[in-house]
Amino acid sequence: MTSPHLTLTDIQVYLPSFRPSIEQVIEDIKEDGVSFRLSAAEYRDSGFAQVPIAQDESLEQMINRVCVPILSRAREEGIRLGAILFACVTNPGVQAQSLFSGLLHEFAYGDTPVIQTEEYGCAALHLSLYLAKAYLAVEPGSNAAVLFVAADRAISSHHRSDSYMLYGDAASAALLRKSGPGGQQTLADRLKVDALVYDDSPERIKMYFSTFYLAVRQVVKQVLRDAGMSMGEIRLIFCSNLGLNTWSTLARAIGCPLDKFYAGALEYAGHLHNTDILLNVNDAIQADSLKRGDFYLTVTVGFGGYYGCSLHKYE
Amino acid sequence: MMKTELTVNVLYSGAREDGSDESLIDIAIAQMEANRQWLADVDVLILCYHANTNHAERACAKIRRALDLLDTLPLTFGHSGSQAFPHALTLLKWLMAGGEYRRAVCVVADDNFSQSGLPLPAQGNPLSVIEIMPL
Repeated sequence: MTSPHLTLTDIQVYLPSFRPSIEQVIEDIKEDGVSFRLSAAEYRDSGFAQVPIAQDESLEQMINRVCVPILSRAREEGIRLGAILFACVTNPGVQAQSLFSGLLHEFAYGDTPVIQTEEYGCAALHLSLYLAKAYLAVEPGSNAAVLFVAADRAISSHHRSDSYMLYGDAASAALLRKSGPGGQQTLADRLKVDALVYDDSPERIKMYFSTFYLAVRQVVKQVLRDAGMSMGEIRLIFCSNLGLNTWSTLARAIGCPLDKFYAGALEYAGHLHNTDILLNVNDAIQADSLKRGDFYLTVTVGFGGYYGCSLHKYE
Repeated sequence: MMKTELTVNVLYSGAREDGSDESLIDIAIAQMEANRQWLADVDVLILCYHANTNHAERACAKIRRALDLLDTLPLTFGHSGSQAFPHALTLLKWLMAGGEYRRAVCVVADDNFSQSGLPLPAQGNPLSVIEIMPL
């Protein structure tokens, strides 16, 4: 058993209350000229039912909703923030620093850089855990932390769907701190980058779809080996909300039953890019499916070949 | 307080010629291919890139594959070009402090980038290739 090298605390998640059916959203995107590879019935078979869609909330307002409680507490505790690591898949060109400038000023974190990492897609969470681990390993003092923020708000039907999946709007955040009592301890983690897809080349996209489950298998097995644990000791797997069909493929590759993948939020939330994991963990705690003392895995898959897996304990 | 210090060395600095429509990324790949010694033992590949076109999509992955740098950790930042270079240094200080990462190559490219929304004066489209290592 390895000792924890990072703890996630203060997990905040925001989902818009407007959640039309997948049938409605598929019809809407098709009207805008975006094709969808599956029928609504086939997509529903994968466990999806609704898509959260921001209406009056701007991206900045969604970010504020999840960050204000965290920054307010961090300021009271005297937390030193090394950076805000910001993941925004739907809006890659957004000016990250300006989205956060009001917040940082309000809570006297004006010197904190906002670093928006790109290309990792839905695996940006695990990239952020990896980077935060490096920071915390050399920062003295128990009050050092990194703030992870994910926020996505589609501005067109081309953001709402890439023809394979529907993407909802959401924001989430968590403080990544040195190990301590409480929160979600991280005991082992692995990042794997194939980065196969960089343009529209059908050959490269095909290669990605033929190999992604093998890459997931590799990182999961590596993490379990690093931690000296077996799948039987893992209570749940929180994976990017890719749906039951894709999870079945992953479950077979990893060698575990499908019901180890937590599916409690799939119907009402669907796939929310980098918010999936924090949403699923919170949902499972509220549903009492995840209890203190439980070990679990988080697994993310970024389109094109970016993979992350970490082992956690709910303290 | 962390005291990781980095050394920064500009390997290449240039600009795309006026009138040429070659992508800065393709120019960077060609320069690095012609100077493979720049890439010896590199373990982090960084791209700070801004472009007004779809060229910006997954350009770091393209460089990584084109140059067969499959053992590198790629890092790229939100479409900010050279403005993101301080972020690259921040993350490299974190990664290099522990000793696991020893050499980064960073491509910095600003394509038609204007901070105020006005067209830039005729300064070309700057491109740099920079090596960064712990001191």
